[in-house]
Amino acid sequence: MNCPSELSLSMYADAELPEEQQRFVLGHLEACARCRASYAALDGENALLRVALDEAPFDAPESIAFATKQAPRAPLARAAHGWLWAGAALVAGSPLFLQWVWALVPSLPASVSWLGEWGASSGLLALARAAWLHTTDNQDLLSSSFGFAATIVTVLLLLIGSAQRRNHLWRWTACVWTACGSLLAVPSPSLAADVRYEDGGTVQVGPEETVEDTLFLSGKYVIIEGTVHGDVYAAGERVDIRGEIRGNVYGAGEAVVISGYVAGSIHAAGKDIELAGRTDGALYAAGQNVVLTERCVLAQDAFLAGESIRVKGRLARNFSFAGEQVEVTARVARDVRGYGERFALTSDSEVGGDVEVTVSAEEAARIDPAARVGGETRVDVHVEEEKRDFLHAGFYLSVLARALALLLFGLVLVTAFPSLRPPPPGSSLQLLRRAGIGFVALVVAPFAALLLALTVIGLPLAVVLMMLYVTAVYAATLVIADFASERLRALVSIPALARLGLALLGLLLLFELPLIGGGLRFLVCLFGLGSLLVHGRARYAEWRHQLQAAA
Amino acid sequence: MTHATSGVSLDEAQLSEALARAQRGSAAAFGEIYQHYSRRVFGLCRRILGSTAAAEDATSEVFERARNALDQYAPQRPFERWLLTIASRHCLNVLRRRHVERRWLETCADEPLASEAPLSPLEVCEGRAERRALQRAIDELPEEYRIPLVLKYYGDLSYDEIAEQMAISRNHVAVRLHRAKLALRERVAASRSQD
Repeated sequence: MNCPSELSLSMYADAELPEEQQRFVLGHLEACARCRASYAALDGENALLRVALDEAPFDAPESIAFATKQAPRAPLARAAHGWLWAGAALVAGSPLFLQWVWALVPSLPASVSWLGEWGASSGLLALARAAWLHTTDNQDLLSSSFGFAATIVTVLLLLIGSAQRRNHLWRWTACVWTACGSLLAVPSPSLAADVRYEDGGTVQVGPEETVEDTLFLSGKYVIIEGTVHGDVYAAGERVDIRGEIRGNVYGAGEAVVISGYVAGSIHAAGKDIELAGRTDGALYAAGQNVVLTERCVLAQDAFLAGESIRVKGRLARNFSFAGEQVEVTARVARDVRGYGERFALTSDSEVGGDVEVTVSAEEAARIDPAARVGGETRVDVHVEEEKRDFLHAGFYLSVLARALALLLFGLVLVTAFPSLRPPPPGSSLQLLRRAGIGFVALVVAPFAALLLALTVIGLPLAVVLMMLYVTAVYAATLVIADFASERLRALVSIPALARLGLALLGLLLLFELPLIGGGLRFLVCLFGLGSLLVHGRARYAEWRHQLQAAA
Repeated sequence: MTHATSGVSLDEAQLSEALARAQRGSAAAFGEIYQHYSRRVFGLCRRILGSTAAAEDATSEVFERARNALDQYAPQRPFERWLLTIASRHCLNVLRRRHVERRWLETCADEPLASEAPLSPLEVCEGRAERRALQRAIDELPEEYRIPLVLKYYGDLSYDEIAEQMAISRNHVAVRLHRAKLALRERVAASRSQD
């Protein structure tokens, strides 16, 4: 008799034979005792397999974290989550609260006075208000106390709402609106602002005119001859300030010329920047040509950057610079410090403190013996070495050393926190998502730390956050190397540790490649950081779930 | 076959009611479903992926996917089978990424079937220790054998479903299952003779 094969019997036992064959086997089984026994044995085997597979010989966890957006939560956890969001909204609304604090404290202690300056004239606040005024045709939100109260109430409602809602999108939106609202509600120093712009024309504050508000000017030519009591934000092809500014000046243009009096600080950027007046604040200027004329008097520090920097006049504090050609014919009360391809201190100069300059070659620094320097004079020569790293053994040794250090770090990390090792991304979508999260973290974490540090009480938290941040960025390379080594497993059969080391070495070498190395490092950082964060969040959710299960 | 594998067990009616609510967007209802099936899904993931940590991640992912796809679920089909299909697809994807695809999908696909096994089918393993030996042997099977075995006898998927998931033909599923059993017989016999 032609018996069916064991394979056929096995398929028959699984009820997976095509109908025709099934009928044949059925008929055969009735006739053949041997096959009947085989079939019974196979059927028993299947049952045994089901039992064995159903039993869990491994330790299934009590509960498995289910990290989803709307996973059911215990009321307590939900409340905790709400508070987390309230905290985020609070951070978003912090400019408002900071401003309140500054309004309450009439004079800040000297050590933190720079905070006051930052708070009072924060460019972000002022710009937000300028945008508001521009779009509402100079209708100031704060002109009535009703408007102010309404804004505050709106911001508070958004804060509470964002804490209550369980939808992430809603929360984010609420956070953003809270931030915007608080920026708008913040009064700028002069409590009001004036926006003037002229497309392609001249915007002018006449000699007889006095502006009480913060002033925003934009046009082809911006000329101020009168008096402005608030800050001045000016942008144009040529910005010319001849009048009197009681606040700070923020100027940008092809040419920025300030010959009037400025009581605050000057922030200027442009092709040509010229300063010929008296300034009671500090000076920050960057441009192709930066010139301080003989009539320039500066009561605070000066920070200049440019291709060509020529400084005359009188500086009551320090002078710092970075430029290609730097020539100083000025009286500087304190130190002169900086970097220049070429640096000259002329005979008419007088420096109260030290002169410390770094130049590209010995002969590039020309310090006239007739110049009077109160302190020490030090000239460092910084020679740029020719970059041909790849030819030196030292380069490879340093890469090797770094790879070993990372490997060691990874070993310590994996030994201490084995569960922190993230799995490779499941799909390209996940990869993108991780990179996105990594990018946000890369940008947001330092800002969050800064905000925390500002509250003084949060300073230790900020330090911890920064430490975690730096560690995570360092470990990001390790994470990617780990993924790569998983891939390598299919290609080479060497121990896991050697594979990881190999992957690390490869990555670090790739980082050193000219042109693409930097970008690659950045991407690896984003992706690694994102992977760590996503995985960390999943672990956290799991932990919380277990906590709840235990409770 | 319905497996109440978790601390929270629901009967058929409760389950279909929870499903209906979950499909209307109730997070709490999906939570109940999760409670009911998480062990079962975890078991499948653990059997296929081989490690508890990977299985936990996979389980979370599977439920996330299931919830996103819940409106595509048609009640005519058993929910557990639908869920386990998602789970197996996810696990196979994980494995594919873990290795280079051809390594596990093609190694044995086209080889002729080896000579029929001289060993008789496994008989009832009475003792706990014996069942453990069998479970160990299953865990140690190469993936190309283990996966169809788990999908068939744990996940209750049909040959066609397994074939689709593994991107092989239905005949290959049959062959692999058969060979998986041959390998198991061999291993269990070896471990018996060792004892």
